[in-house]
Amino acid sequence: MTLPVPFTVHLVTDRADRHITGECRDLRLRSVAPGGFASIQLSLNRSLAIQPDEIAYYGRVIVQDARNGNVVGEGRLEDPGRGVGADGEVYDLVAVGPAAHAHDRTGPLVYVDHTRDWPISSLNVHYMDVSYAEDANETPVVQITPREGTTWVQNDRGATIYRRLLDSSQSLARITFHWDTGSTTANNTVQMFATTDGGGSDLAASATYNVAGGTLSAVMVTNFTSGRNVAQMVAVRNGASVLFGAGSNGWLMVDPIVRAMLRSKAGADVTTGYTADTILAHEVVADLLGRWLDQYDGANATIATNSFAIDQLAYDATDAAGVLNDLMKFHPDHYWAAWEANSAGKHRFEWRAWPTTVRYEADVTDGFDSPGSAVDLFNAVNVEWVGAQGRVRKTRRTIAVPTLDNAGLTREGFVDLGLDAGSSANAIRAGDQFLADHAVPLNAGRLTVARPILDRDRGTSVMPWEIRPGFLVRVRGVLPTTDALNVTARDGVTVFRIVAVDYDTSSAAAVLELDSSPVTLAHLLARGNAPVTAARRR
Amino acid sequence: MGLVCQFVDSIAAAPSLRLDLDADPWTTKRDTDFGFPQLRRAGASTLLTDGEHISASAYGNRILSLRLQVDTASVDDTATEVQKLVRELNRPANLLRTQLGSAPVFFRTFRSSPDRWLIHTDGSFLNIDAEVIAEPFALGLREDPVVLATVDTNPANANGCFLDVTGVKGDVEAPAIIRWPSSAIVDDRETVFATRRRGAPSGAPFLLQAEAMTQGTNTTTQVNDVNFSGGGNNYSRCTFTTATMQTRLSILDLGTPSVDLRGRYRVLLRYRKNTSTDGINLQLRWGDADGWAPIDNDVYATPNITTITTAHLGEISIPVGQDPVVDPATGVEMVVSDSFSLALRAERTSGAGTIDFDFLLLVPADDRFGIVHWNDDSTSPTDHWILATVNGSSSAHARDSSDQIISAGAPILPSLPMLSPNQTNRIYMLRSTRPADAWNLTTIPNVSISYQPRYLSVRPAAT
Repeated sequence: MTLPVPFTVHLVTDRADRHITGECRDLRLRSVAPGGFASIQLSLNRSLAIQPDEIAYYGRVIVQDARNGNVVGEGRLEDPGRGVGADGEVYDLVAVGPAAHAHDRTGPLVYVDHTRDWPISSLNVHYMDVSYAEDANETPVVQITPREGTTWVQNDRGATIYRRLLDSSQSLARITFHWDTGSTTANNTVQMFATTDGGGSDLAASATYNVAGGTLSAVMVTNFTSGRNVAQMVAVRNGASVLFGAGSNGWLMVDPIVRAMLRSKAGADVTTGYTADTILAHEVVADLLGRWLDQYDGANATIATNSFAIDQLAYDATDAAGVLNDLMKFHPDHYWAAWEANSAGKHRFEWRAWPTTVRYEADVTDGFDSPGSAVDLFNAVNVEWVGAQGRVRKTRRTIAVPTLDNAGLTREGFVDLGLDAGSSANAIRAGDQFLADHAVPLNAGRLTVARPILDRDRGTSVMPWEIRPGFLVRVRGVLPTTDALNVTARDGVTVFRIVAVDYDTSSAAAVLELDSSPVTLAHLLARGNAPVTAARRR
Repeated sequence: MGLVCQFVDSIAAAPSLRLDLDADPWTTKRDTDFGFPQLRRAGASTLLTDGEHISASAYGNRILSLRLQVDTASVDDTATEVQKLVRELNRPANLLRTQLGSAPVFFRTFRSSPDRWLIHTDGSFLNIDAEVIAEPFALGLREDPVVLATVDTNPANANGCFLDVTGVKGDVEAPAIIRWPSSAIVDDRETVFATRRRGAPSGAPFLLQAEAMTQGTNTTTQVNDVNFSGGGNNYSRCTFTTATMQTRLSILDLGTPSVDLRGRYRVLLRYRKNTSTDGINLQLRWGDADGWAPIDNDVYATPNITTITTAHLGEISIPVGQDPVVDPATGVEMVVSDSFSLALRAERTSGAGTIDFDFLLLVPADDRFGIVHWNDDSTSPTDHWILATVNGSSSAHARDSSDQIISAGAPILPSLPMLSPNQTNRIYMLRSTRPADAWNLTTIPNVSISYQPRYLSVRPAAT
């Protein structure tokens, strides 16, 4: 390649769409996985005395490959910094890629909630006690009991209420009560109500008391009206009034699970299919696209299918990026990315698995460094999570890592699930996935590519700026192994994940960050300047 | 003929003269040096290999070293002449015309100042040196190789979706200036401009008529329909008896082995869905070769329309795999085999209708490819648009029938075609390629292509 770098650069605001290809300096592009297009930096000489039509907050910067029209970088101006110096009047522009949209909105969000967040309802009569405990299996339960020495009057109720969906402006999709009682009688009934705050109520399911216990499940449309957003758990005396003396067994214990209604990736309400008390990651991704991520092209998004059943995922405050990060704890072999915008201004979005085959073939000729640190090697992990009863729990998982085991070392990592995603099953899953991802040393290195390399997916050689993160690269010139020729995952020696690509037009070379971002001063500063995320619920 | 060195107001055969530096009282001395622009390079090197890989290169500005002499009858007259010079040098942008031989060239200069002056006698006779910064290339007079030509939107016809530009003058490539008629524009239309300017562009694969391809599952050729391209049975219909994703059209041969087959191409399909609400998806499969699994491009979901329109099916590369281009032993560009697998696949996920295929177009996408998104209905008084590259950036403006600039909704521009000297340049022009827009078989009149030749030094008489 001995010609000018064939980029076109244009700035788009509501007042102008202007090409600045011949005027910009120091153009640098960055894309990452997860995330997609991350940032564009460039400098532009413009008078500070006037506001150029083509520069404005949230104006678009689009960099295209002039040879084929493909977008190689895109973002919105968030830092149109101005200054005067030896280069004259200069705008130093920084455009943030569409990945930033995942941080645009913060709020409560419920997917599946298996918690004790069922306070006493106004239906509860004064002599019915409500408490929160754990059953023999450490499962959190809500307990409703008539007080000793009181008379449970006919039609009087003990009741608790679930209102989290009101705060998050969501609707009920499914309610499940795993219940048990202290006696078997047709005079007492367990009831499940789905109501709408402000009016309207459906008796979604009920059962008479039975020491054998049971399960009540109700789903929207079938058992209760669509749009209900409050659930109530009721113990009612439908027989004649009865005095509860010492040792009476009028108690009711319920392990409640609530699922919120989802949206499709196109934004439509999903009113069927709630057959489980768990949720899958790809359903969450689709809901985020349809609910919060309106700058992404949800209707045409690529979403890989997942199978791990998540049994707790509910947030007091989160943004979409936080939810996606938690999903990647359950599926570290997946990532999300947002790329170029379509003609309607919506960005292409994908939730996909890291490939298991090599896409790019490169070598070390233009530069390579691989610290190959063992600092990210672990054979044990402690997953901290908060149970529904509010108690901080720990789940420890282990894995065999020959490198550590042979050295007689135990290195233990840490994962925090908090309450938002805290459950035993989730903790086991997150812990096992963490260990699988840290059984081979992360490279944390960089590969410089200044010449065309083979792209197996496209069947041709590609220029350095066409290399995308989110794929595997095999690097020749590093310790060769037969495993590297038949790779199904990164091996930390010859085959690496590309987690970021930086392209600098000044050097006309791409720097690939391999397996994980290297710890550079720039990255430390970036982490320090990152917005503080909502603390984990305890 | 003497050295010409004049500040002028335009690049024209007879521009208005601002200051003649080689006519009394001025003399341009013979050690004046117009120089050459410096070639800047980005290189990558390590001790792992000999030599340095040049990743990219671009010319920097040039320095015109003017050695001037002014001699008048009085000191005041000389001072007046020097002031004229300084005023010309001080313009943010200016044109310096020079000529060695029969054809002039023009340097676009930037604001500069004299470096030194030497008084010979009493101040009426001075030597003045000025280092003038200028754009890398000198420009020749505008050339109009294509004037008000007609482009056919039917690729099977002459000038079908392209125009050839030959005899391009200059030392280096020059941006094309395209005159595009308003009659070819409606709001939201997307027009493709692409370029092939190496080898023999006529040898590049371009048009694959559906009826000439191997008919696949549930697909047969149909009797002539004037709305489709070609003669005889001129389109193919798929009835989706088997509705799952199947190969409906395919080829295994591109015709003739040639170096001109080589390249990267965007594949467009002209088609018609016969029931708008049918859910029909298309996909390109290509590159199936020994040891190389076929590559499936992204699935394309057809919109709900029944007009004949365009599907963008992604990119292909010919040949597939690693291509050294030249023989490592001889340095000669290697011929590409015509054996190449390309298949159009389709599925119907809902409905019961059929789909008709007219042709596939392979549009070069390894040189200059761009899509103009028009934002103007371009009704009167707009007569035509001028698409050009100004200061390295694409720009477009509308003109009326008197060639005056008028206000109009600015289009969204890509990079625009370039023209290479000593080479046939094929400019592909696809009038309407936005999915859901109609691709009608018609003609586009009054398309012109112009350019200003660019030179590293002076201009030969004919090139």
